[in-house]
Amino acid sequence: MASAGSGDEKAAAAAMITLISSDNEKFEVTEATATLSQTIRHMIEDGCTDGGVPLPNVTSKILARVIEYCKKHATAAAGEEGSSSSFSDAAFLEVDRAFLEELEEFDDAFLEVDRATLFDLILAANYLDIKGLLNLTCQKVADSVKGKTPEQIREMYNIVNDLTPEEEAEIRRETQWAFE
Amino acid sequence: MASSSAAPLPSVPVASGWAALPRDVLWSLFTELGHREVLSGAGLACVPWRRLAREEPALWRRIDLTVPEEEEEDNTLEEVADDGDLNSDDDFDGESMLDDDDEADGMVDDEEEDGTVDDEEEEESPICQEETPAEDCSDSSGWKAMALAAIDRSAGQCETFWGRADDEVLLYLTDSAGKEQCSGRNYPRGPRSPKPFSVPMMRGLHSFELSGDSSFTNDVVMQIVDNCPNLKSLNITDVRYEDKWELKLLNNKCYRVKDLKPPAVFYEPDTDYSSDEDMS
Repeated sequence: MASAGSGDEKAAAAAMITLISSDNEKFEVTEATATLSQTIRHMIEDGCTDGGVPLPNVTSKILARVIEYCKKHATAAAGEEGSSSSFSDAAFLEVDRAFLEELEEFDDAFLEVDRATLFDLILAANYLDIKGLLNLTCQKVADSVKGKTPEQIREMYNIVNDLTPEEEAEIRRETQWAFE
Repeated sequence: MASSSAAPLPSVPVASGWAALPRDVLWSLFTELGHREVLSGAGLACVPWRRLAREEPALWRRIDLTVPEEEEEDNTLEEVADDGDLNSDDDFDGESMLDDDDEADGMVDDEEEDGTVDDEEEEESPICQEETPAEDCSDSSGWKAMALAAIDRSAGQCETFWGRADDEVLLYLTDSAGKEQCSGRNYPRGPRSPKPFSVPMMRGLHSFELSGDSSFTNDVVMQIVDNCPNLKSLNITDVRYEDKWELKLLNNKCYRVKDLKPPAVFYEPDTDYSSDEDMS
């Protein structure tokens, strides 16, 4: 809120964190970017990020994408804070809106990935606890699944139908609405 | 580097594909999808997905079975008769909302987010916005099965219900939502009882909103008032004019109801009762 641009904040923003992917690639990111991940935020708070943060569940390919997302959204968050304090005139709101639109476009483009990548992004977002990214990716899956039958969903997502015949029968009983 | 807690983050269970999405993720997905979809699509895809859909009452705390408008047109599952019959359209906008809105505003809904159960101390449920079936609609049609299934899954934790309902659904709902507070009277489970709408005793019901159906008569509204002794809010503005509304009687009966929104038709100049409008 207040005191935008205090010395402390600047210092915090400039602090760098090293993230290490499962295949041992190192990514240097600002703390502001890294802390979009609650998981990493907690590690920073606990002071256990010296020497880098190993992320054994995230490949470099996915981590690169996740960082791309975080960078973009960290900037957005910073922008929002600024606007709520000192700049509240119409011109700034205009800029704000433009920025939000840009962010939306970014998100849309970001989601143009194949299902396997989407899956990995979801797992990474969940593991790193990045709410925005998890919502975004889940939304994408939800949109694709909406209005589909269980069979169509299985096909789309390569899900094996592991329901037993009894369960299938039970489902048929329970869900007459779907078969009428 | 000495600190041992700096070790790698705890690892996530190895997923073997979409079926094995972590529970939290699936939870978000289902929340995003909405209850209709979970009941008829995603929640049936495989064992793990079905398990979450069935075994997490907290997911069903705020049931919403309404049909989004844009879907209403092209939803093939619904079998909307396309003979232009008005009533068959009505079949699908019967919505009912049951909301645990007691203490009207004071209540913090802090439980709804994370799914922690609050032991239902205040399980005095529910607001209900509801619509009776259109006259020509057979009681056995899918909407009811879906409503009952959704209520079943809430395992007594349902606080809000949006969707079509009739007396059976209502009773099922209130029965399930507040065992101690609902009268234990038996209710008909027969799928095809073409009997007139009758309102069950619903002590837990706090707020009731009826919408857009012609079959709500004066009589039904009176039954609601009689049978919901803890009703604090009754909204019948949207009920179509069918019957003579006895405003005075309604007002008298509703003395307990803090927030009464009578049918809009009251305000029309040609009603017999318009002169003594003294409702609050």
